[in-house]
Amino acid sequence: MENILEINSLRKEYDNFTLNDVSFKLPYGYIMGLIGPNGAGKTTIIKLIMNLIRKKSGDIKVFGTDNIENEIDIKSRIGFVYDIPPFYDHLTLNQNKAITAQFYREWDQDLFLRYVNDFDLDIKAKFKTLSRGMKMKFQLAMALSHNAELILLDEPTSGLDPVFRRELLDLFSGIIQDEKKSILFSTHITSDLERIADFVTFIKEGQIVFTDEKDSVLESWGVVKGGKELLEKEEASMFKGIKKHEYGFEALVSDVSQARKSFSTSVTIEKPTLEDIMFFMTSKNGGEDA
Amino acid sequence: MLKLSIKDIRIYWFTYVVNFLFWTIMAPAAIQNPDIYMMLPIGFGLLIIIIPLGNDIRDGRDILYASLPIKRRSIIAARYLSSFFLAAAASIWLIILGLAIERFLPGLSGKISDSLSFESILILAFIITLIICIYLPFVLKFGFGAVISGGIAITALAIAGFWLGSSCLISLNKGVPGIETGGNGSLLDSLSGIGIFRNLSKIMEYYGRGISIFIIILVMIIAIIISISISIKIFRGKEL
Repeated sequence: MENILEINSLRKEYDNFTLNDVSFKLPYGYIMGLIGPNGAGKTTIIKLIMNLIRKKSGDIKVFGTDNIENEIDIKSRIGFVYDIPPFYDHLTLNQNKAITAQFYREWDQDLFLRYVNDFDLDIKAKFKTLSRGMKMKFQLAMALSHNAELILLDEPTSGLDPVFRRELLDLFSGIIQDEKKSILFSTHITSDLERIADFVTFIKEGQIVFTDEKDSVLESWGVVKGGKELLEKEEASMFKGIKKHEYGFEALVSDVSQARKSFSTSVTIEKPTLEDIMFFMTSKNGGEDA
Repeated sequence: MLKLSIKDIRIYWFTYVVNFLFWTIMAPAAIQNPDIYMMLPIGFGLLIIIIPLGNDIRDGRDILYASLPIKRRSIIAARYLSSFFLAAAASIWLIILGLAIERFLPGLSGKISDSLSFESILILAFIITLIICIYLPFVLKFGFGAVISGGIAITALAIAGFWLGSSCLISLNKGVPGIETGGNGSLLDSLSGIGIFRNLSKIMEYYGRGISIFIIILVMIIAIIISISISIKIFRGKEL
C-alpha cells in the first residue's frame, strides 16, 4: 500500500510536554483516527504535519515528500480543518472564501457551491452568526473545494450534536470512496472512530501506545474480568490497566489469545470498545500497570 | 504577495473609512501650527497599521495564513507592503486635507504649504519608515500584548527622538542662511519646534540636497531590509 502520510521518530519538546518517538503511516484511501485524552499530543502532531510548529527531530513525509522541503506544494494538496476556526467573524462566508480561495491553484468554485448547497450554508451570512456545526460545515466546504487529497481535521466532531456528528462521519466516508483521498482526524470521541475509521493511532502523554487497523485492534485487545485472586498470578503482568471493584477486577489486555491461554476459564474476556481501551490506558483507576 | 497585501483593505475597509473620517474631523484642530500638523500622519499612519495587525494577532489569524500554500516570508513581505501603503495613504490624505483647508478656509489654517516640500515629505516618510521597521518585528516577537503599548511607545520615542534630534541639528546649524529658530537659536529655542520641517529642508539644501536625499533614502532602504529580515526570522521560528 502506498502511503499518503508517513511519520517517523517525530519529536517535539515543550517545557512541560514532550512528543516522543511518534511513528505511523496512513495509506491512500483510508481514514485514520488519532485518539487520546486531552493534552496527549494530537493537535501537536497535526500542527507538525502542517509545519505550524517546529519539530525537534524526526521525519514527516506527505505525498512521499518532506513536509518542510515541499511545504507549498503539500499545503496546496491538504484540506485543513481547525479546532478553532480562524475565519473573520465580521465577514460573510463568501468574503471569507474569497480571501483564502485565491491562494489555491486548484480551487473549484463549482464544487464549493455544491458543498454550500449540500450543507445548507448561506454564503451571505456572517461567519459569527453560524452555529459551531455550521462553522464546521463551512470549514469542510473550504477544505474540500480545492481538490485536497489529504484532509486533516483537528477535533472536528467535538461540541457537535449527535445528528450532525453522524452526518459529518457519513460525509468523511463518502470523501474517501475514490481511494485517492485520505483523512486523518483527531478526536477524543471514540465512538466516531468505531463508525468510520480504518486505522487508529492512540497517543498518550506524547507517546504512541498503538497504531494499527481498527478491526485488528478490536480483535486482538480484550477486557478480562475475573476474581481478585488472579491479580496475584504472574500472568497478571500482561494487564495494561486494571480496574478493581468489590468482587473482582476488570483489566485490559493487548493479546486476547495469550490471555485465554493464561487464564483459561477462570476469567471472562470481552471484546473492548475503543473507549474501553482509552479508559484503561488513561484513567487513574485503570491506568496502572499491574 | 500583492493578494495578501490587498486583503487587509478588503477586510477592514469600513474601519479605514471611519478612521479617515475621524482624522478629517480632527485635522482642523492641529492645523494652526503647520509643524504640529505635519506630524499627524505619523499617528494616523501607525493607527491604521495597528487595526489589521492587532485584529489578526488577537484572533490567531497567523495560523490561517500559515496553513495556506503561502511562504512565510511572503506573509511578512505582504504585511510590510500593506503597512507602507496604508501609512502612505493616511499621510497623503492629511497633506491634501491640510492644503485644501489652507486654500478654502484660510482663516482656520496656518501656512501648511510653507512647510511642505519634497524634503519635508521625505523626512516624514523617513520617520514613518523607522517606526514601521521597529514596530513590526517588535509585535511579531511579543504578540498581541505589544500591539498597542508597543505602538504608542515606539511612536512616542520616534517623535520625541525626531524632535530632539532635529532641534539639536537646527541649533548646531543656526548659522545656515534662512534658519528660523526664534530667540538666539539655542537648543532650548530650537526645541520650540518652530519651522522644524522648513529648517531641516534648508539644512539639507545647505549641505547638498542630492547627497542628503541619497543618505535618507539609503538609511530607509537599509532599515527596511534589516527589519524584514528580522521579521522573517521571527515568523519562521514562530510556533502557531
